[in-house]
Amino acid sequence: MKSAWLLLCLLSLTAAAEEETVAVDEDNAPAGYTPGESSQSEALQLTGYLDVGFAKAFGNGSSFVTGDTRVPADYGSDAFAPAVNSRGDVASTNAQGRFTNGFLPRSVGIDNKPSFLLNTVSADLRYAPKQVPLFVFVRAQAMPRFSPTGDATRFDLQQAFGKLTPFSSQEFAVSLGKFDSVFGIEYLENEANIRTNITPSLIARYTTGHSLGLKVFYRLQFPAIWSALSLNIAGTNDGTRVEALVPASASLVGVPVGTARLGYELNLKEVQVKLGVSGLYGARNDQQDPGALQRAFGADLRVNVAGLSLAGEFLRLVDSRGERGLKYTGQSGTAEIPSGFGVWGGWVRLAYTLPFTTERFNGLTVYGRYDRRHGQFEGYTELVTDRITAGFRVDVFEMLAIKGEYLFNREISGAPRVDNDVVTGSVVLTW
Amino acid sequence: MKHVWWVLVLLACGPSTSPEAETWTSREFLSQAKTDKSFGGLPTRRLGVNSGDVIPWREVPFETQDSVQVSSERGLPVWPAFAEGHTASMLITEIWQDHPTPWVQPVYQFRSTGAARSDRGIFAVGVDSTFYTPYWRAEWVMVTDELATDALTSVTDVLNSKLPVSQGAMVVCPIVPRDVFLASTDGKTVVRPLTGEPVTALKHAEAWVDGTAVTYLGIGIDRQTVTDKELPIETPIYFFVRSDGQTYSLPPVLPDEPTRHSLHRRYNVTLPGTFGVFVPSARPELRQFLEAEGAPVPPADPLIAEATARPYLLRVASNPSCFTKAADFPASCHWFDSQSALEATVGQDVRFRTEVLITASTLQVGGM
Repeated sequence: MKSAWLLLCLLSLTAAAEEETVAVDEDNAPAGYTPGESSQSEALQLTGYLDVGFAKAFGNGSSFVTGDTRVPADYGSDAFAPAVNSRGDVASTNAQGRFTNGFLPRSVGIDNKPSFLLNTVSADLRYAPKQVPLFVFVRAQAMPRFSPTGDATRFDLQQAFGKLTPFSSQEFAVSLGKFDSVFGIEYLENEANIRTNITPSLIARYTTGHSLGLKVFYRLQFPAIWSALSLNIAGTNDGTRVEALVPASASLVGVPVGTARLGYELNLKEVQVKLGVSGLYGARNDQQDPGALQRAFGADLRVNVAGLSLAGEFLRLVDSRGERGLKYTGQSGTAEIPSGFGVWGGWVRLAYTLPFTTERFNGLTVYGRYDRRHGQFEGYTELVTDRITAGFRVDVFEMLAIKGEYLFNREISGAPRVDNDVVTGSVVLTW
Repeated sequence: MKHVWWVLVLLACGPSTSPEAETWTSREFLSQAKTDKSFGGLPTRRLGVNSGDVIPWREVPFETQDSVQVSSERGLPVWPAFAEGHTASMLITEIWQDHPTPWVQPVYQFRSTGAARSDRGIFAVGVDSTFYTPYWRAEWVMVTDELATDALTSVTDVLNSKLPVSQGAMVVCPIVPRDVFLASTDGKTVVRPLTGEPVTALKHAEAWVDGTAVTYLGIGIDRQTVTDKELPIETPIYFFVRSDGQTYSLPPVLPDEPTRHSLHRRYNVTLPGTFGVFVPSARPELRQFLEAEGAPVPPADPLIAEATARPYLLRVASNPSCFTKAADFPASCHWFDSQSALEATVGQDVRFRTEVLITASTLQVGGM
């Protein structure tokens, strides 16, 4: 993987030498993550961003309570709560020697100490020849990290796909490779430079992963009623969970997982409304029993009016127990048992963006988000947790975003109360 | 068309999968007691008994008459076994197959500096959890007298109370259905099958799991050893089997120091042809039953007194010719009635490790 990263950097330098303009990331396009190749002035383009953070978590930096000796530790506390960056990495996953069973996020290893973090260095290569309706996209990322055992820097080929747009008159595209999720709307803000706030929601772990497979997108416009319908369907190895929980690079069960989202959007001059429903069905790819299923349903809403934007998402997901063998994750090592699991929850975010900008000042957004999660492993206590996030984002010079937020994490029932609030900041330079 | 076929084949054929991980507790033992299934190679009809049914092992031909489970309770049968050269009895409460080694979970108990407390304990998990275990580390919660009895009913309650907690002993407490006790004809008397040695009844009490009352059997403290990382240490239990793997109806052999170990890995021992099972000449129906199973049951001297023979009923000897001389019986016999004797005598070519783990708590050793 290291050599792939170096190769990509070399290619990037070559491309950068030819590139004069700053490419705008199109992740936030209304159709989801469908980079618009037609807007590229050159066949080969390099874009990317650098996310430098500063974070401080309270308590011991994790959600694990000293004195709680239950196992697995990650079944009795929500280890994902003390997130510090847009990747959902947490301050600490130190379970104090207790057995865990593969339900852990990645950690930046700072415990409760305030620390600068190089959250992500992301480089995108896009190749869109004008003569053919093909587009190639590769996103490589570096995440310098520290763990109690030493350096834990990671390189990730987060996305790599080719996209075919066979009809110039239709918004129809077929993608093959590793790409964003199609479930819900939070994946649209996976990248720090796009995300309004800093940290993902409490349900993002189930919906924002990157999957390897085939994706089809189609959008039909109804200009007379300022509306459009869109359909995104994917068949992938793993579904939509983040790579910390489920391996994506190979199918462990031999059959693809189906995911789809049907969306409606109303685009008026003063008001934009977007609605969607999503579904997922297939075998769990964190184990080897093809009869162990994952099923999910989701609904999402976005409304933009007069500088106010309201967004929300609901999720219900159920995993049946994997009866055969070990549990696998996208992290090193294996866990012991793929337990049955159920979760429901969601989030709602209200943001307000000041109605003026200048050449250098590109916007100030303040926001508040409420997350809630009810999660339960088979036969284990149901954990009900919520989170209130408040923060701001300032955009300047068209390439710099300065963000800060506070996470109030609360344990409503099931999980022992723990001081795991987080204050975190992020400076994102887009290039 | 060929290509389509290959695509379909690839879609249909996933990677090879591991065997199914199984856990059976006393709840499943009772619900399957009248079936011909087996859990971990043990017949379900010998793992549980419903009220009014004949108690396993306390039936013809193992005993001279059937004993019937008391009508007010369901029961977990007492199994005959041998350990350290003595008769022994044991209770099977959980079986795991192709499953990771079970864990140690905390059980919270309450103490006060004042009056004695009658709070029910709190188990971390119940039998529905994939991480259920009967092996618990006692955690003593020091409470004040002002705290109402049973005010805390979940681990979360305890942890949120911030009350001081100190670590106690290892305890073995299988969670059982509310009406399940040791199998008994009258609800009081419990005996070892075959020989009738008395077995002390177990504590049958309630505790909490996440706010819900459950019932458990108290096997006792220090009945299971653990590693310094709080993982139960397994010991072998030997079952005698036919060459085709079918388990003989013979008492198993428990490990040495059996009262310190409850978690056992099942080993199968195939009996070499020169070995024999001791059945007194006065028990022809039992001899016939075992011979029908394929067990070697050589003749025994009719002059062996019943009192002498009783403790050796269904023991396996490597020199069964010793059964034929009452004068030399049992001193001249080389018995397979202890872990050390068995491991010293039979090679690994006839001792087979299985992927079955069993909670088999020793109830009694010796006593005849």
